[in-house]
Order: sequence, then structure tokens, then C-alpha cells
Amino acid sequence: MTTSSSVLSVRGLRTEFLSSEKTWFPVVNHVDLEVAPGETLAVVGESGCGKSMLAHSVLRLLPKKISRLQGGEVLLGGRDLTTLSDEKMRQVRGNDISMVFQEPMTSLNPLMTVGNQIAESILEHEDISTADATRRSVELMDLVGISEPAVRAHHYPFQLSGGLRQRIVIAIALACKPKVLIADEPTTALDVTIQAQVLRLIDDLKTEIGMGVILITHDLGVVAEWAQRVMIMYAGRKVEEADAETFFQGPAHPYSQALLGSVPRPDAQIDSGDFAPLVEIPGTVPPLNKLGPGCAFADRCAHRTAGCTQAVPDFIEVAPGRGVACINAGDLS
Amino acid sequence: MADLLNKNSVLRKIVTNVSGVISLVILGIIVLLAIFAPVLYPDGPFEMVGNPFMPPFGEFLFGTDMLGRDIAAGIAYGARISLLVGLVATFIIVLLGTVIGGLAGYYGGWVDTLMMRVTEFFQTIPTFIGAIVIVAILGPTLPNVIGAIAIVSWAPLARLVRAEVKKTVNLEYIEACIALGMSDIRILIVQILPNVLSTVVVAGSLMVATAILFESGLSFLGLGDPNIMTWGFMVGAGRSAIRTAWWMVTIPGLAILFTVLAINLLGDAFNEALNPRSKR
Amino acid sequence: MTDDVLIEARDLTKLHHTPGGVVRAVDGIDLSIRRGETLGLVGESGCGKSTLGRTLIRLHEPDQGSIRYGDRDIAHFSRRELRPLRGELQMVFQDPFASLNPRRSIRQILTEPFSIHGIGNRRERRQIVDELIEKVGLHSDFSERYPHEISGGQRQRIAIARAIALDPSVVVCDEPVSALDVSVQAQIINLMRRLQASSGAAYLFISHDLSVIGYMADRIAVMYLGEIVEDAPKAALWKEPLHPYTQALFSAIAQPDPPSVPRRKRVPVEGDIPSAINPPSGCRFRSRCPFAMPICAERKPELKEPADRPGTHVSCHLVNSA
Ligand SMILES: Nc1ncnc2c1ncn2[C@@H]1O[C@H](COP(=O)(O)OP(=O)(O)OP(=O)(O)O)[C@@H](O)[C@H]1O
Ligand SMILES: Nc1ncnc2c1ncn2[C@@H]1O[C@H](COP(=O)(O)OP(=O)(O)O)[C@@H](O)[C@H]1O
Ligand code: SF4
Ligand code: SF4
Ligand SMILES: [Mg+2]
Ligand SMILES: [Mg+2]
Repeated sequence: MTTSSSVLSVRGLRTEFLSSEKTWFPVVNHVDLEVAPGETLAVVGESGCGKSMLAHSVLRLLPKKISRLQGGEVLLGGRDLTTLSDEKMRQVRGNDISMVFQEPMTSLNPLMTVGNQIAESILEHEDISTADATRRSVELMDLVGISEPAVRAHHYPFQLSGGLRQRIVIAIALACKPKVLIADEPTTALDVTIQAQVLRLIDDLKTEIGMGVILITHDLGVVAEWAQRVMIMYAGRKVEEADAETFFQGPAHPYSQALLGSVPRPDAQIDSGDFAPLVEIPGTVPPLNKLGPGCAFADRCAHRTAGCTQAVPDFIEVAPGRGVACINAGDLS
Repeated sequence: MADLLNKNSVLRKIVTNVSGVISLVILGIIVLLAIFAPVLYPDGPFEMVGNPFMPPFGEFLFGTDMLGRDIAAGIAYGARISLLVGLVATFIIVLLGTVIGGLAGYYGGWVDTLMMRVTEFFQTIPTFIGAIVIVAILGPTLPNVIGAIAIVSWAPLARLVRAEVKKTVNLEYIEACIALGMSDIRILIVQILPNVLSTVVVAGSLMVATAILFESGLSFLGLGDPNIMTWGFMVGAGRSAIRTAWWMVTIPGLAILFTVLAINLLGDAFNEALNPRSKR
Repeated sequence: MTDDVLIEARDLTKLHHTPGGVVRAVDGIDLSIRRGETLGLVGESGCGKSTLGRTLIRLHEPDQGSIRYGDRDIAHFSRRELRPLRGELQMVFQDPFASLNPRRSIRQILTEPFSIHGIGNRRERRQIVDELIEKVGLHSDFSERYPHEISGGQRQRIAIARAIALDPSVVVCDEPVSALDVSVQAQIINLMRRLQASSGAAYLFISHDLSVIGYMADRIAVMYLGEIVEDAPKAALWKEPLHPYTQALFSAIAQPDPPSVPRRKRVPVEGDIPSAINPPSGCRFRSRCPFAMPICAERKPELKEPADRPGTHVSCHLVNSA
């Protein structure tokens, strides 16, 4: 990916947290990423791999005192967000970059009608009259596929279903036509049929306003269906990056391979009648403050060799947007 | 459970808490007084040992009353009654409240409706006036006083326990126990009660203070057992002499104040020790 | 149905009384599971899957209908009558954090089934529990830990161990992997397939994820708003789902295939699941069905076996009139 075509580029981002032993440890470690307008980049990994922390770092929504940005840059429209003042950053959020969170209920104010909440976020960034903001909020609700938007605008969050609430959250995120949308597991809390509706919505809007989307998910099916590029994270690092076609043809990193193998695939198995056990990844993601010197995946890796525990493998980029961090990756494909 | 059984940890938390320490010291003194009252004052609190109206810090530490009775002896023997009433009444209240609240919360349905109706009825009785009426009708003896206090005070605790049990009873692990065929009694005692215990301990410790206050109030009004020396009775008896002998009212009054305060502080300390979350 | 049927429900109905009104969470459902069979139950949240599972093993008492287990109808058994059967009818819950008592150690939790039913003495129980823990793929050292000291996947293994402790003949698994990470989900799915293959019990496996159901089940029932709309052998259902709702569910499966691989034809469903308190008249799916016809509002379609699809049952006017 070339910088000129990217709407957002993150370089060498490192975020640290304070452990209970009062030492700083990285939860996002030297991450690079690029997103082009009209493109969806999926960020995938198990729970605790640092996906949400990456998103929060980009938006500078990290808890004070126990966390800090410790290097790297976040370039958006020629500006480095890491150097902006808090006030400037507040204007960027919601205006240039927006975020959709996993749990739609907790990101809405329970005591305010959803129409007012959308209008409020428009007024925050634009100098227009309240009446105009209200009118715009109804338009936005229509845009995100809510029927009877004028009526629903007067509803409180608890009166709406999960799918509708998530649409409201998306409407708020899109209120100012951001250049980048970060969606952190936007559909995990939703039913499959609703999930498809919401992802379709994000996809349509992405093309319509030409924004870049970072889609955080642990569901590889969703990635294959909706993303153009894939980035796999493990223990705070990027371990593999590829375009979706290449990735699903055959991922190169042992972690990616295991993730893909652990998804039940009844389609293929019903055809062949052969129900082989699913690929298991033994153990769990290690606590990030207790990482050893080598590859963080070594404990769980079926391809581990002696060299793996010596040093953290470098992320080797074989082509723009294609790379892997594994010393044995060459022998695997 | 681990919290409560592991006395060290709860105790340590109370001991490292300033108000916890103060309350423990005050209560310690009162308990010692109560235990050693017969040793310190073998003649009992009703014995006339000196001249009437002797001021404190003279021959007698706390002075004497209008009949020449030693006020310090009265305080020591009164401590026994206050603690006895506080503990026994609380025991009855906790027992009633836990059983009724527990059954209502666990079974729900008509059991719940019935028990909560009864509870509501008792809750509508104005507590202190209710206690006065009961003692006035049944006669002023110590068991009646304790019973009256328990009867007017158990209802709020029952509601509290019911709410806690209801919270726990819907958890899936209770369903898992039902699916295994565990008996209701066992589920209540082994699975649910430990979750309710900290609430009961905290509420119960505050209840001791309330019961002591009630008893003092009743005695003050002359509704206490006339054959027993209590702090409330002493305040009541000294009331008419308040201009000439301030200590007759003040000293037992302070005894009540400090005891109740100390128990309340201890209850708070318990609360903090058992729910670390309540603080931060 | 043959004698192999272990548990069979007829016209099963369970109402929930809520402040908003009466929810017909399970509404006149027929269902049976054979020895050694796994029936998969799929549907969106709130459609009544958990209620059906709980009613089947009598954690709820049904408002109507029968549950034949062995040669008895247990639909209205009292608590006392149920107690000896409890060990045979078991359940694995969705949330491994809520289904284990946080104040009891793993050993205490796993000893409960045996002490309740008076099996073994202290020493023997210790040994049975150790074996049980190893059977679900954990080291017996785990026995002294408390639930918060082990991971979600390990907790779910313990919950499974508790459910299979007494060799149950019917096991309801209510979304047992939904709360778990993909990699851990694979471990639990493999474990459950292994245990089920060696036990001969009847399993009701509930999930909202068709891929998981497709991997676990022999037969699949699709549920919508308290009713079963399609019930079919897995391979038949996978090849050609008949009910429009089933088709919608299938087309919403996101397959982790390269984008160039062709996908199933999409059957779009609009809107949300209607309120269970006030379901649409006639066919309950009609408010979202792309094929809805006038008759769908007037008459409720019956669950029928199409002539060319033995073993499949569908309730849809479109299919049944064809
Ligand atoms: N407030 C915090 N204090 C300390 N550590 C934290 C905090 N928030 C997150 N972490 C740690 O940072 C790491 C990454 O967490 P993050 O929330 O980004 O994971 P994730 O990949 O989004 O997981 P999930 O899929 O569960 O959302 C984890 O090891 C987590 O324990
Ligand atoms: N204990 C309960 N009390 C009242 N309503 C309930 C209760 N359990 C479930 N319901 C309602 O019954 C319907 C079916 O719920 P449930 O069986 O949990 O569905 P599912 O498992 O398919 O998500 C829902 O509308 C739900 O809100
Ligand atoms: S570097 Fe070694 S341990 Fe790490 S993923 Fe590659 S083969 Fe496995
Ligand atoms: S009966 Fe009518 S509304 Fe219902 S699923 Fe069939 S076609 Fe659709
Ligand atoms: Mg996250
Ligand atoms: Mg459920």
C-alpha cells in the first residue's frame, strides 16, 4: 500500500500499560497499518490480542495514568494525531474518525432519545441550528435503514432492539461523514440475520461516502465476506497481513492457519462425509506482561523450532500489504 | 465464604481500618466491664454504698445517685443487659429475617406473596411505638422487651435477604444444582446462604446497635424490667435531678452513645471488609 | 417413531408471564430424540430455544403438552418425583462464568452429583472426580482451584464434566460454545463430539450458529418465535433448506472462503424479530418473509412432511401447497 492512496496510516505504534508490579508493558507493539478510502481492513485475533487497544490508541481513547502511547505515528489527512492537543483531538474524533463499539447499549445514553443523541453529535462538530441538526438526524436514521425514522427518533435506547440500537450507534458515527470508521466487533452482540444487515449497511455506506473502515472481529467468516484486506494480531503484534483472497487461499502464519482450521465447516464435511476433528490451538493467549524473549506464539505453535524462542521474529514484508512474522513461514506454504 | 471463614483476612481488614480499631477498643472495654461486673462490684448495682449525690471522680469513679448507689456499678451491670438484649434480639431478628426472606426469595410464587404480605404488615408498624405497645400489654420483663424489639425489627432484614436470594437464585449454577437433583434445603444452605451472609452480617451488626437503643428507650420510659439495672433506666431515673447531679444522666447517656457508635462503626468496617468493591 | 426414541415431547407449551404480557416462549412444539442422536436446535435470540431445552428436562414445568421419557409422562412430575430422574436429564449452560458457584472449588462442584445420589464413599468419590476431570481433558490438579482461577474454556469443561458425571441419557447443551473464543470453541466442540460418540445419550444441542450446529448435529430443528418451522436430517437441510426462514439463516452464514469462491444465494430478510408477546397472526414469519402471500396472514401453516422429502417437516404454505 502506498502512503499517497491511504486515508489513514499507522506506523510503529506502541501502547503500554502499567502492570500491577508497576512496570510498563506493551499491549500494542510496533504495529503498522494502512487503510485506503473505500476499503475495509479486518483486524483479527483471539480475545486479549490487543485489537481494541489498537483502536483506542488510534483514537487516543486510552485510560490516563495506567496507559501511554510510547512511540509511533498516526497519520490522517497529513496530520500526526499523536501530536495533537487534547482539544484538537476531540474535534478529530467523530469528525474525521469515528468508532462503533461492540455493545450498542453501553455506548448510548439511556436517558436521551436516540434522535437527540444523533443531533447532539452533529452539533458538537458543526455550527448549525438545532432544527437543522434534528432534521439531519432523521435523515441519518433513514440512511442507516431505520423505518419510520421520525417516530423512532423519539424513542429511548431501551425501547429499541439490539439491531436498531447498533444502527443508531452507526448513525452517530457517520453523522459527520468521517474519513475513517473503526468498528470494534460491531455485530458480535447481534443475531445472524441482523448481523448481515448491519455489515451490509457499513459496506454500502463505505462505498457511498468513500471512507476507510477498520473492522475488528474474531469471526473469519465475516472477514471473508466483507473485508478486502486482513491483518492478524497476536499478543499485541501484527503477525500476518494479506489481501483477503490471498489470505483465505492459504494463510502463512501458523497462528492464522490454526485460527482458520478451528472454524467448523459443515459444508465441506457434509459433502465428503468426513468429520475430522477441528484444529485446536492448545492453551490461551499469554498475559502480555509476562512474554518471554522469543515468538509469543511459541508455546502453542505446532511448527516451533529451536530458533523460535531466541528472538521475536521480524515482520517480513514480501510485497506491499503482504507479510508475515514467523521464522519458519517460508517452509510452511 | 472463603472471605468470611478466613478470619485472618476479614479481621486484618478491620484492624487496618481506623474506625474499625476505635470501635473494637470501645466494645472491648464494654465487654470486659460486662464480664467482670460481679467481680468489680460484688454487691450489685442496687446496693446503697455511699452518700447520695456524690460527684464523680471522688470516692466513687462515676459518683452516686440520689439513693447513694454507685453509678459505676450501674454502668457495669447495665452493660451486661445492653449486650444481652442487643445480641439476643439480633439473633432472633437474623433468624426470622433469614428464614422468611430466604424462603420467600427461593420459592417465589404464592409463598413469596404470602410472606411478603406478612412482612409488609410488620413493616407498617411504627417501630418504637409498636415496641412500647407490645411491652405495655405483655408486661415489662426482659424476655418481653427482647421479643418486642425483635418483632418490630425483623421485617426490613427479611426484605433485604429476599432481594439477595432472588438475585442468586436465578443464576445458572443454581439451576445446575436443581438439574442434579439437589434438595431445596441443601441448595439454600450450601449454595445460596454463603452469598447472602455478608449482607446479613453487616445488617445484623447494625441491628445490635438499634436493639440497644430501643431497650434504653423502653427502660427510660419505665417500660424496662424493674428488677434489672439498665442504662436507659439510669438516664430516666436521673432526669429529675439533672440540675443538681448532671452525672446521673450524662454518664449512662455517654455509655449508650459510645456503644451504639462503636457498633455502627464496626458494621461499616465489616461492610468494607466484606465488599472491597464498595469503597473503590 | 421407533422404540429407540428416548425422549419425546408432544404439543409442548411454556408461557412466561412478564410485566409486558404473556410470552408464548414455547408454543405447541413436537420433538423427539433417539438414543445416540444429536438434535441441533437453531434460531435467533429470544425465539425460545433455552426455554424449550429447560422445559424438556423439567427445569420448567410446561403449561401444556406431554414429555414421554422411558414409559412415563414426566410433564407434570413433582419435584420429589423428579429427583431420582435428575441425574439422567442434564444440562450444560451457555455462560461458564454463571454456571459454576464462585464460592465452591472444582472438586466440591464435581463431588456434588455423587453425594446427592449417595454414590461411593469419600475415597471413592475423590477418585471418580479425578477421573472425571481427566476425561474432559484437564489435569486433576485443577480440582483444588476455584472457578475464577481458571479460563473460560476450562470452566466449560468443568460444566460438561458435571453434566456427564452421572451418565445421563438426555443432555441439553444450551449454547455451550457461544461465550468462547474460536480456538477454545474448537476444543470444546471436539471434546463434546468425543464424549457423545462414546455415550449413546440423546443430545439436544442449542446454538444460534448454524456452522456449529451443522458440525455437531445429526438432525436439525429450526425455531422461530416459539415454534419449530423446519425439522430435517442434517444433510438434506444443508443441501436444500425448504422454509424461507431456514434459507435466510443459511444465506447469512459467513463462510471463511476466499472471496472468489461463489456463495449461497442470498435470501434477504428485512426488519427485526417481532415481539414474542404479540406475534403476527397466521405464519409468524410473514412480517419478514420475502415470499409472504395473503393466505399467510389468514391461516397458520402446519408442520408437514413433504412427499418427496421423507423425514423432513416444514411449516410453510409455499412449500406445503407445492
Ligand atoms: N485497562 C487495562 N489495564 C490493563 N491491561 C489492559 C487494560 N485494557 C486492556 N488490557 C490488556 O491489553 C491486552 C489487549 O486487550 P484488548 O482489549 O485490546 O484485546 P482484544 O483483542 O480487543 O480482545 P477482545 O476480543 O476480548 O475484545 C490484554 O492483555 C488486556 O488484558
Ligand atoms: N424466566 C423468564 N421470565 C420471563 N420471560 C422469559 C424468561 N425466560 C425467557 N423469557 C422470554 O421468553 C422468550 C424466549 O426466551 P429464551 O427461551 O431464553 O430464548 P432463546 O434461548 O432462544 O434466546 C423471550 O421472549 C424471553 O424474553
Ligand atoms: S516463529 Fe516459530 S513459534 Fe512463532 S509462529 Fe513461527 S514457527 Fe511458530
Ligand atoms: S407461510 Fe407464507 S409467510 Fe410463512 S414462511 Fe411460508 S411463505 Fe413465508
Ligand atoms: Mg476488544
Ligand atoms: Mg438462550
